Amino acid sequence: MSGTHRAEGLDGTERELRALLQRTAADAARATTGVAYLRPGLGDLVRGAVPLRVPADGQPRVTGVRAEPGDAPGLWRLRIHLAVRRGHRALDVVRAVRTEVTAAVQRAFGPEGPDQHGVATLTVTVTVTDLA
Amino acid sequence: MALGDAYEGEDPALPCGRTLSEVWETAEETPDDPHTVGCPHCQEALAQLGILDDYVREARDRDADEAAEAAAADRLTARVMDLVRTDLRPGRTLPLGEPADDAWITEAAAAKAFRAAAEALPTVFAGSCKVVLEVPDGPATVTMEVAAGLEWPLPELAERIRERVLAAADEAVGMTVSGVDVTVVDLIDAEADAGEERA
Repeated sequence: MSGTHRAEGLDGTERELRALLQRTAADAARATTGVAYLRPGLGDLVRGAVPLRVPADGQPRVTGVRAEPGDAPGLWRLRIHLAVRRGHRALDVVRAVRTEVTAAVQRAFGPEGPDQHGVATLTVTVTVTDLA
Repeated sequence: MALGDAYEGEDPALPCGRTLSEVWETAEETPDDPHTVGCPHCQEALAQLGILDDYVREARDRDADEAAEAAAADRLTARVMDLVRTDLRPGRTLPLGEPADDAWITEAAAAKAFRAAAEALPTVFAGSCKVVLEVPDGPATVTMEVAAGLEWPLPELAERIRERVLAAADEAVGMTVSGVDVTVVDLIDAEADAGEERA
């Protein structure tokens, strides 16, 4: 995949990979000790009980995690926004989340993993948005 | 496109190009704005805002008893303000740990930890709390306004709050704070207040 293509947007495979990456990262982050919840999207705060549209795959939308492809193939950046549970040190939780998410992505998408269509390098940026 | 698809940063754009905050502001300032009136996306967003509004009213109506209602309203206000602070206006992001950590915390979340630390002291109520970086990678300084009971000698009060905030920065958050400025904006006479309530 060339840089030019990337500028025009993601193709179907990349979009699928992005969705899988976001879901994998969200599951790993949510399961990390000290994480209260992943930040809901702004829409979720006012949406009420009825979603605007059920996604085609029937899966609930991942919020609080965004995966962005880098400038080269196999390069991805994850931005995770989460709330830390009170009684846990925010920095320690963030470090644990990075470790857990990186491991989960490696297991699923790394060279050893079952799904080898490409995450070679992963950058994980974590922002604590609340202490709950 | 659903609302969440366009979620970018803090303020998602609707398919019509307007962001949620623009829709809300326009609805308040110019209720008969032609775009808003004719745009299904804006109308839908406003309907959702209505849900939040209904929730607020419903919760307020629930308690008939006046005192209970006041307490419920306070809790509700606190909760709504909490949402506003943490989700709608997160403020700046501040670095956590070392630059290699690529870890951040919103100013609102850090301020919440510092307010809670100060309020762990008896009769101390924290108000405005700003956390500002001296240089881009820190350290930060904390500026906090508090109200406190009359029994506190002011220098001791300021010192105790400083200690608490510095401890919270290290133990609860994990960020470096180089200074804490405390302004006492009000003194509370707890006994007199209690007397008034009884009377």
